[in-house]
Amino acid sequence: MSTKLPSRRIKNKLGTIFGYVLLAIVLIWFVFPLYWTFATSVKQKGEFFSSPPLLFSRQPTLKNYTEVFEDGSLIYLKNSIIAVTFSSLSAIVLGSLAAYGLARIKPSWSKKYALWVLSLRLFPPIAIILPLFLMMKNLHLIDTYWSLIMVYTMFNLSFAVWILRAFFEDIPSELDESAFLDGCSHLGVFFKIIIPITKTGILTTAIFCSIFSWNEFLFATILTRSITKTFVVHVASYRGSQNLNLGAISALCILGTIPIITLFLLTRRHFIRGITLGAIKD
Amino acid sequence: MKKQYAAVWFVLPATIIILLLVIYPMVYSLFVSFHSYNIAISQKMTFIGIENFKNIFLDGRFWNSIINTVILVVVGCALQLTLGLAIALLLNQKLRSEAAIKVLILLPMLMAPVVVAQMWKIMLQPNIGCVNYFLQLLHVTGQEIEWLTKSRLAIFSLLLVDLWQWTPFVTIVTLAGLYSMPTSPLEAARVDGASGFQIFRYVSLPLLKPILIVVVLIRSIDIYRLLEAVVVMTEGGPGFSTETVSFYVFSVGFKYFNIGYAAALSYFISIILSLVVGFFINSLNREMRGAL
Repeated sequence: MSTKLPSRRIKNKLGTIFGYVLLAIVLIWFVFPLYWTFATSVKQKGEFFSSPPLLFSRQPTLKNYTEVFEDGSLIYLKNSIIAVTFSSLSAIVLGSLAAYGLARIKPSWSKKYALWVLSLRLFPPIAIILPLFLMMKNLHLIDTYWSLIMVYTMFNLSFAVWILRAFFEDIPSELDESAFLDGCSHLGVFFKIIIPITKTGILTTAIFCSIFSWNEFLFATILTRSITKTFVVHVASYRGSQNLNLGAISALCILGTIPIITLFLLTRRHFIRGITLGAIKD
Repeated sequence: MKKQYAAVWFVLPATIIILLLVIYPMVYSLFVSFHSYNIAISQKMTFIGIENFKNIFLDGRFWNSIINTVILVVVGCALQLTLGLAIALLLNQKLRSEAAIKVLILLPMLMAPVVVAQMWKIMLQPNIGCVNYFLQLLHVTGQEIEWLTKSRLAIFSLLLVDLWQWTPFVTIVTLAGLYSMPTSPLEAARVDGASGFQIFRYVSLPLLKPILIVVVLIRSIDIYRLLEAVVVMTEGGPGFSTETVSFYVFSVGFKYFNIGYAAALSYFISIILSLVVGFFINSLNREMRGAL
């Protein structure tokens, strides 16, 4: 046995090195496309077509970004921010109320209701966009913020109810029982106890909702025309002043990703729980 | 009794929004699906019974899109599951700077599908894109591959993009499953002299199975509705070789404005989806009972 030990140690070391090499390949695979897009977005006009492709511009420039802004992209950024902010806020307000009812009052139908809400998310969005489009058209809400905010609120609600219910259930019930003894109402408990305790959970949920709305394409492309077109729809349809301006498209891609990365880094720690919740809880 | 009654008030506002924006449109859509209704030629709605649903069965382009979607779902899930699981096992060792690695791996799945599609479209361009350049550098191929304009390759490109964006999801969820795994069976197997592979195959994998089924379920549903990459990268082409179900319904509804038929198609694909999901959930239930 003792003669075997050193060789096993070498084997382990080789295994570790091999592991790190594999890890490096994995990281390059996931990060390189982002890097390439960034590198393209700061290239000069002539450098897109150079062969072999340049890994980095010889004279980095922000020209592509200024061109994109001159094309009116700022308006679409503003549209996205408005739709995202208001839909996430209303989803959180309505969703946390519903989650309180389900998780803290615990009616007998609590679980069934939560599953019903979640099941709405399974439907292909393409299946309800059609009637929604007709509905919004009849109400003259096409190309207004209202239609987008309403639809995103609804979509985020199903997610917010489900995830906030899980966060609310973690709170020990002694806390609200003692508050009830002190004469607190349900709304009192909701605002004075539940909300303060689950602050980070609520923030994480809000950020999930924001990322969903920011990235959403189908509803945005159908329910908006030119006035309230969102940034993602703009990215999908960008042609620019010249035929194929790789730099400008790359710049748009980077601009569309920066807000998401910022939001994500704000709540990194709680994020993984949010992603895994649907798959692992229950 | 009184206690439960209060819950209704808390749930009510959310329920109203949902009923208004999901249930009402669905009922209305069912109504429309029995009518001939094209808003491009400002046609009035006329009742035609189940004609729209009958047409689905004769619609070759629709069944072609079903085949494309099934290919994407099956191959996409298999690839993402294998790769995602492998990466999760790789990360499940005590690594330095694990948090930073996780952040980097998570980034693709947070990005907008439209943005991801645009990024890859640029990289896959022949002559100017970097993918062909690297392949030539590694001597995988000598010529310029037309990723998006050759019919066999175009659907492969869609798979590639989806693989890049969504493998991280499989990895992160599987990792969480590995972390929450009870340690005693693993240690018992190790004491009994099982090799690393045996432990994975006979202990970890069965324990992970319920989670993996949920992951496959979520990924299948998502790939089933794949739309953005098709719109941005191929527009269903060349020919109809990359038309997915969502893209086809999208075209019928909003390119040809054949609203009645699109409504019928929407219902049809939702029914297919519920059947598949029902099957998944049944097998998941069986799995869970087996575990108990």
